[in-house]
Amino acid sequence: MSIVGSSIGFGLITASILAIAAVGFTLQFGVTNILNLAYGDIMTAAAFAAYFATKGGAPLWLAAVAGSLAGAVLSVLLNRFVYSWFARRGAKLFAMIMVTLGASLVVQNGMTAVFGPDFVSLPTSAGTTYQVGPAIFTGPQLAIVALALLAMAGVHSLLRYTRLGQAMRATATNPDLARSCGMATNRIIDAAWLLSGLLCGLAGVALALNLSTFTTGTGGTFLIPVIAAAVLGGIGQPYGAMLGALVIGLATEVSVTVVSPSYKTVVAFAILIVVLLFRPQGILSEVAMAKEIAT
Amino acid sequence: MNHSSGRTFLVAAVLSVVLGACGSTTGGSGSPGSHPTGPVVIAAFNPFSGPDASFGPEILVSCNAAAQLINNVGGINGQHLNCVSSDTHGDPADAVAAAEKLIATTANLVGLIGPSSDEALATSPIFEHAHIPMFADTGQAAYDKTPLQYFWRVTAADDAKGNAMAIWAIRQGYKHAAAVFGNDAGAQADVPALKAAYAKLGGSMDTSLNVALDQASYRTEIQQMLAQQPQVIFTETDPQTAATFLSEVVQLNHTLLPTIGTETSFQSPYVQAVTQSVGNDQLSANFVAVQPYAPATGDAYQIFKTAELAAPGASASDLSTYAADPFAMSYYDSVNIMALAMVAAGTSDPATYNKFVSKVTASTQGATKVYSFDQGRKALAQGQSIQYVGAGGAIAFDAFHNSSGSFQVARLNAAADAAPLGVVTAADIAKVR
Repeated sequence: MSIVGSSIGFGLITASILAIAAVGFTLQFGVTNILNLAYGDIMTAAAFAAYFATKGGAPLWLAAVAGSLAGAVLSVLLNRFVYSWFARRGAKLFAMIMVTLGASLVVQNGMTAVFGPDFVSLPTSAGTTYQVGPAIFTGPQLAIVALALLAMAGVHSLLRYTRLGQAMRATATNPDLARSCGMATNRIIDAAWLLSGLLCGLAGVALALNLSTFTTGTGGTFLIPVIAAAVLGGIGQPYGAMLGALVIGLATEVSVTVVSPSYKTVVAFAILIVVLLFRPQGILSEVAMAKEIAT
Repeated sequence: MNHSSGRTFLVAAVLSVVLGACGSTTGGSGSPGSHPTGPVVIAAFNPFSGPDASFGPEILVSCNAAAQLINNVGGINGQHLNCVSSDTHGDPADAVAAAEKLIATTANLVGLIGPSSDEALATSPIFEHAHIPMFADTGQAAYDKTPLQYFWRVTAADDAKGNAMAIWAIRQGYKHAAAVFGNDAGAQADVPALKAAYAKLGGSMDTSLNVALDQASYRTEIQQMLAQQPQVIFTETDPQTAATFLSEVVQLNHTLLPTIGTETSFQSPYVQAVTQSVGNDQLSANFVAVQPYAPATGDAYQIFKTAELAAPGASASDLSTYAADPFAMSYYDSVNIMALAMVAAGTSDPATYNKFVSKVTASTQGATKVYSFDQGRKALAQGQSIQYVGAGGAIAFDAFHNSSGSFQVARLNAAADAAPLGVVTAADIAKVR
């Protein structure tokens, strides 16, 4: 029982990183309809930005801010100078996926060319540990959970209580109707990329903190569970992504208590498939239905 | 399909048939005794990208080191030797395509260094069929008694490595252990022999984890492992997995448990990743690894070292690491063995010289010991039979073209310069097999 209890605790750490990443991923998709496969590599770029900030003497919290900003800037630039160029020329969903795949390869290999293939790490004081129930956590891990909670509360407040959030939701649900109602959808799309990039960057820094070392391919490896969490929750649904991240994060850790750890990702994806069999649109549905992704 | 794309397809199809035909004629299956014209080519057929991307560059550098010495004395039967790379990505599916492309498009391909464990099972039949001798760096036990005639192995098999890990642990008094191996084919190859030898020597493998690679966390697995109170961890994973796993062991256990790794632990990305994750103090105090033993002494080693340090294609620090690595010695030796077999056979035709590989390394009565290609070439020219003794020591192929040896155990540290702690001999291993 104590191992199951602690695995739930450990699963919350993974779920926290996944939640930050998946909410950013799905928020941007919901508004722009672009499945951005370069997302994982932007996470890595943000982690490197944080790494260089710490090398320059910045404290860890400031490095996390630098990483988030780097993620935001890179996302906006990628959209402005690459994705929107193709979108304006009528590239549809599949073509855009290939464009984002290309962007992913360019970003990852560009980082390898510039930063080299070496492993680097963020300076953390992982020596002190804290017993929370049956699980033991380090300070950075508890900080990751707190950051995730703050980020989720922030996203919730933005979507529910601000005009920008309402405009984003409107654009995600029906962009044509939003435009005909006088909303500046292009600015809303820019804001979505910016917000998504901020969350992407924060997730990249959180992942780097949790892994203890990272390299240019690290974020790309993490992209699959991020997409799984987003799809499970209902693609385009920020609240669904939070729920999806929780399910995937907990499933990967708790499954280890019952099956071989070799299958921990298989279990998470088995859950994804089973859920999609009964709810093809994901756990929370309305935007996924509108985007015809899960049907 | 429109006419234009139809024509393009037709041209591509014709080209691929022509190239394929050229490849099979000039590379793999020339008539016995024939002399292909132009330089002969040995390929470093290994991962140059992916998790095992460090394998390929070391092979290519070592091949070039041997090739420079060979070309400086006139080449092989007057033919220049070139080393080329062929990236398998460490993936069997990619490797099959890479193998077929290599055979089809490389003129005068006479041999390979590779394949590695990542792609050996998928590609060794292809090279066998093409009659290309392959000096594999795979350790898979499947090749201990292989029927493949063009497969050669001068490095120890994984099951011998697993045996060596078990023997070392028992020597240190560790009777309760955890096995933590990646779920990739290369790492899994070590496990059966490790478990069998450890049990035979009285050890108890209380936990056996086949871990999924590159996960965000392994804390639950570690919690389960620590509950069994192992005295030692046996491990082989990729660098990212090792860094995450070992740092979490330190987080949950407050210190790194004694850990025994394999030769992949000595690769520079691995050392770099785990040093950053657990710290050099924890690492050098608790982590040892086994690797094939080759005493860095003797004439052959000195010739190898000078050539390796001067080889193109790597940084000075990498060259320095390679010069002390038994695997680099085995790659260099493999090139020399192939070259001397070609000289002995009087042809670079692979189907012919393949039969001479064991003849130039065998310790037969009256054979002249030679320690370099140049010495061997001169002795053969004088009509003598030779025994090539390589940088890694003497090589004795068994009936299945395997030549294994001893293992040394050394501490892992950031500088990768720790002195060996001890040796597990071939005789020790034979007792537990």
